[in-house]
Amino acid sequence: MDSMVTCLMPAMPGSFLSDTERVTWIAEHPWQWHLGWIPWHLAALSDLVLAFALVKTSWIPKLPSLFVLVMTVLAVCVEQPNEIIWNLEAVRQASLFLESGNLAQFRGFESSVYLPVCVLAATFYAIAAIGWSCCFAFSNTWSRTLTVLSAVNWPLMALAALALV
Amino acid sequence: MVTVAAGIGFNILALWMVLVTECVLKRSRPDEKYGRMVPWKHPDTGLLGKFLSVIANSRMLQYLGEYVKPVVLVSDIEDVV
Repeated sequence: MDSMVTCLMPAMPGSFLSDTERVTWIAEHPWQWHLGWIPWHLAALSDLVLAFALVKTSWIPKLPSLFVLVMTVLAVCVEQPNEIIWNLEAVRQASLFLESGNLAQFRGFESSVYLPVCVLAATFYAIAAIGWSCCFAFSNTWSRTLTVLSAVNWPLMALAALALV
Repeated sequence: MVTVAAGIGFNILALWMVLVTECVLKRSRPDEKYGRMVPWKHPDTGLLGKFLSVIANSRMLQYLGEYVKPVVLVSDIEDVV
């Protein structure tokens, strides 16, 4: 979250900067851009580790844990290739924009990675999160506060992802 | 709007992770009648007391605290067998 706010936010679609300013920002701050993505790659890795841990844990029911694993693998498979391309290729595309002034090319590139990363994968992650709740609730490792937080947060995150379509 | 919703969502997610970690650790470290797993209660029954009791009984903080190295006592006596 911190990396999103401090390193990526100025360059993300929907930021407070105009498209031209965003792309110029990426071209002028390539290392900030690359560094900002690293925690998100690690977050995907930690989600995978958590999904495998849930499957391996004996007191977690198998059905919800396998559901989480499938959703997480789907999310990572959709997200990571596109996120890596976004991370690495955006700087080159931004440099091309500075040379040519053709913003449409950058927009085309960005929209090709934005949808899978911010909408599709985020939706899979939100569904996997519902599976997390099932895993812990069905194994009586649960509290009322977690019920409330889950009921509020997973729909909120799914809606936030789907609202970007 | 979407950015704000996502920001709130990720903060709640962090809180959710902490609370679920508490529940998981409580499975292996349940409350006990005697010893160090006895629930600790602050004498103040107000909000501050309740807050301090929650902090004191947090299994996650206890678990993280175990990573802190114990204090080594300095002594002039060395090589004692």
